[in-house]
Amino acid sequence: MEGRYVVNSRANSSALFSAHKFHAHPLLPPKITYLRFMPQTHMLNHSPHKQFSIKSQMVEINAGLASMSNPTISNEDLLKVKEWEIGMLQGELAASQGISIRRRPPTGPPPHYAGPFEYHLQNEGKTPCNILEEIIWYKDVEVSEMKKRKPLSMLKMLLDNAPPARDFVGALKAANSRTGVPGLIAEVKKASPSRGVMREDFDPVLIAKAYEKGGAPCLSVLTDEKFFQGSFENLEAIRNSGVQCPLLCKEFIIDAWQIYYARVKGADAILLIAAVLPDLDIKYMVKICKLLGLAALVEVHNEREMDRVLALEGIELVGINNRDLGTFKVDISNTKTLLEGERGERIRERGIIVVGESGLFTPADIAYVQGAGVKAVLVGESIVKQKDPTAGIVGLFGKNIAS
Amino acid sequence: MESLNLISLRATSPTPRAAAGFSFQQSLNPIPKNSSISSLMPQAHKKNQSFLGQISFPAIKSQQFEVKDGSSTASETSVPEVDALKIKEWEVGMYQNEVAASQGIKIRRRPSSGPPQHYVGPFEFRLQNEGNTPRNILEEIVWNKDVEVTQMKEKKPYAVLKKLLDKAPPARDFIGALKAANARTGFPGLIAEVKKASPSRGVLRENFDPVQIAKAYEKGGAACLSVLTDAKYFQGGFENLELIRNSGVQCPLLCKEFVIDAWQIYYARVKGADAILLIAAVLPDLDLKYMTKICKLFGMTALVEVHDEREFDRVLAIEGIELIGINNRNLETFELDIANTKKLLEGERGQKIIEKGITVVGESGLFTPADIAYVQEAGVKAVLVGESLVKQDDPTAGIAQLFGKDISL
Repeated sequence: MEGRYVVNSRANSSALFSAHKFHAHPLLPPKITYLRFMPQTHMLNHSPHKQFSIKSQMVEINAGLASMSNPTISNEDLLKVKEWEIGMLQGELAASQGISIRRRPPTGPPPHYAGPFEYHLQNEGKTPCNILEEIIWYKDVEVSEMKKRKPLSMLKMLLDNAPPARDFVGALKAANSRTGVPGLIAEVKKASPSRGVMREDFDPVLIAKAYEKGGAPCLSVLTDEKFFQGSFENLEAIRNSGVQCPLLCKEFIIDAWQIYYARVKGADAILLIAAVLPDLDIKYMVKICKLLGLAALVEVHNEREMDRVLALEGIELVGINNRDLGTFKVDISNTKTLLEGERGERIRERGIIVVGESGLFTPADIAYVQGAGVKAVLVGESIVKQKDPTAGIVGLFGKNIAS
Repeated sequence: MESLNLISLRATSPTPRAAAGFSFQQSLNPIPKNSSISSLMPQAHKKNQSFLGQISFPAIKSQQFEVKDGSSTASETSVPEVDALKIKEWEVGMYQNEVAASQGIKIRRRPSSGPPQHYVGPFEFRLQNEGNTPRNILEEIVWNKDVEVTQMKEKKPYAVLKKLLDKAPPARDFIGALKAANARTGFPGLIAEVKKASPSRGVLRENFDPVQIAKAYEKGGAACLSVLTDAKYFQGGFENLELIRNSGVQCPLLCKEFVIDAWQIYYARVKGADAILLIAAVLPDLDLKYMTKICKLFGMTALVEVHDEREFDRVLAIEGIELIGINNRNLETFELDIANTKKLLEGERGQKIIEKGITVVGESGLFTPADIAYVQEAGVKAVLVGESLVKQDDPTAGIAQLFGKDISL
C-alpha cells in the first residue's frame, strides 16, 4: 500500500504574504488526527543508501486546492487563526506547569492555520474531565458575554464610584494577634457541587451580620451562580449593608476583567486558583490586584502548585485547599504536608500569610492547622449550616472570638 | 483611594529604530541609527516600537495615572482589525517565548518588544527594553536566523518550494547509513563535517573547497556528511550542500543549520538534504514534535541535539525521535567536556535509549581514537566530527587517524 497524505492547500502568493506578513502555509499536509504517512519505500531500511522519492506517494489534493486560486485570506480569518493559536499556546503553557484543567473545550484548527498544532489529536475529550473543568468552561463563556455587555472601559469608569478597598490581610493579622487563633474568613455560601445545598433559607446579609457579630475579621462571598448559587448582588448587598469586614470575592477567575468587576462590586480580595491559572496569569492578576488595592488569595492544593506559587514575586496570601477539586476528597493533613520543611521556612521568611481551607469543623481541626503554620482559616460549610452562625463560630474555635 | 485608569503601557518613539545587527560584543554600545532591518521585521515589531530601544521604561508604580474620561483608554470595540491582528501576532510571539521558558529554554526567538498599542493582557507590564540584546552567541545566531528566514520566506514562499520538491533528489537513508557503517566497521558511524569556520574556533580551513573535502571524507569511509549552511557565523551555504549533492558523492547529507521554522526543512529538502539538525536548546517540545513529523513526511531524518539532562529528558519524552546528538560543547559558554556524553547516557536514560532503539551521536571534542573509544563505551553509535578532520591537509588520512585505523570501504 502506498503512502498517502492529504494536502490541504491554501492560498499563498507573495502579494498576500507581504500584505499580511502572515507566514501562510499553503501546502502543509493535514491538520487531522491520523498522519499515517508510511510510504512503503521508507520503511524497513537496512541498506546503506536507500532511496526515497516523494513522487512515489499518492497525493490527494482536496477541495481546499480551490482556495489556492483565491489569494485573499481576510483579516477576520487571520484574526481567528491567531486567536486560536493563542488559545493553544496558553494550553501548552498550562500543561507544562502541570495544570490539567483546560480553559475551554478543544477545537480543531481554523482554516488557514499552519504550524505545530496541526497534528494535535482532535478526539481529545470534548467533555470536561472533572467539575472544576466544567466550571471553568462555563465561566469562560459567561465572562465572554459579560465583557461584551460591560467592557473594560466601562468598568474603569465605575471604579471611581466603588467603595474604597479595605485591608483584607491587615484584618486577618489583627484578628490573629488579638485572639491567638487563626483569623477567620467566614464564607457566605448557599451551595456547592461537592456538598449540595447547605442552607435553604439563605439571606446573605443576615448571615454576614451574624458572622461579623461572631468576630469574623473577614468574609468570603460566593459570586458564582451556576454551581454555587451565589451572586455579585450578594457581594454588593453585604458591602452596602454596613458590615465592616473586608470581603473576599470567591469566584473562578480566568480573566483580568473579573478582577475589575469584583472591585466595582465592592470586593476587597479575590481568589486565584493555581490549579487553573498558569504562572503568567497569576503574576499578571496579582499586579492588577495591587493596582486596585485588592488582596490576592492564591489557592494551592499540592506540592507542585505550592512550589510554583512560592517562586512568584509579590505573593502575600496563600490558601491551602484540603479538598481535591478533582475528586472532592478532603484531607486536612494536606496542610501539614505542604507547610513542612523548606516550604514552611520560605513562607516564614517571606512573611506570607497562609490560609487553611476546607475540612475545618472543630477546635481540634483549627488547632491542627494552626500547629502546621496557618495564620488564617477559611470556613464555610461548618458555620453556614448552623441555625445561628454566630454561635457556630464559637463552636468552631471552642471559645468566643468576638472583640 | 485614587482612581486608576490603566492604559496599555508601552514606550513610544516617533521613529522606529532597529539595529543593523545584534552584535553580542556591542551589546553595551549605543545602537547604530542606520537601520537596515526594520523593513524586514514582521509587522508586529514595526511602528511605534523601538526595536532595540534605548528608552527606559519607568517602574510600575510611576505608571499609574488617571484618565478620568476614559476616552483615551483602550476601548475593546473600536480597535481596527489590522491593529487587532498585529496585537495577536505579537501576543503569539510572547506566548511562544513563555512556553519555551517554561521548558527551560533560555534562548529567546527574537528580541522582545514592548506591548503594541491597545494590548491588554498578561504581558502588559513587560518592560520595553527588557529583551533587546542577545545574551549569548546562540541567541544572537537565532535572532539573525529569524530575520534571515523571514526574508527568505518572502523570496521563496511555500508555493515555490512545493514545485521544487518534486525535482529534489530523492532523500537518502541517513540513519541506515550510520547503522550500516557501525555494523561494518565496529566503530561509531562517522558523520564528517564540511565546515569552514565557527564562532567558537574561528576559521578552521582557509582553502575551503566543499566538494573536494566531501569526496575526501567519502573516500576515507565516512558514512554521512554534515554540511554547514549558515553563512553569517559559519561561512557555510546552501550552495555547498547543493554542490556536494550534485557532485556524485553518495553519502547522505545532514543540513547543519539553525532551524527555527518549518519552512527551512522544506528548503533543505529542496537543496538535497537527507537529514536536518533540530536543537533542543532552541526549540520547545511543540516545535520538535512538529518538525520531526515534517521530516518524516519527507523521508528525512531529524538529528535532535541536546546538551544537558533537562534537554535530554524533554527529548526522550517525545515520540518519534530516532536520532539524538549529545553536544559536548556548551553553546552558551563554548566550554567542551566529553564526559558530558557519558553522564547523559548513564543509568535510566541509557536504558531508555536502548529500549527505544534510539541512535545516539557524539558531537564535539572528538580528536583521537581514545576520544572515540570513550564515547563509544558510553553508548554512542555514531559520531559527528568537524574540526579535527576539516583542519587536516588530507581529510581522508585524518579519518584514519581519528579512528586509529582505516575505516574506508
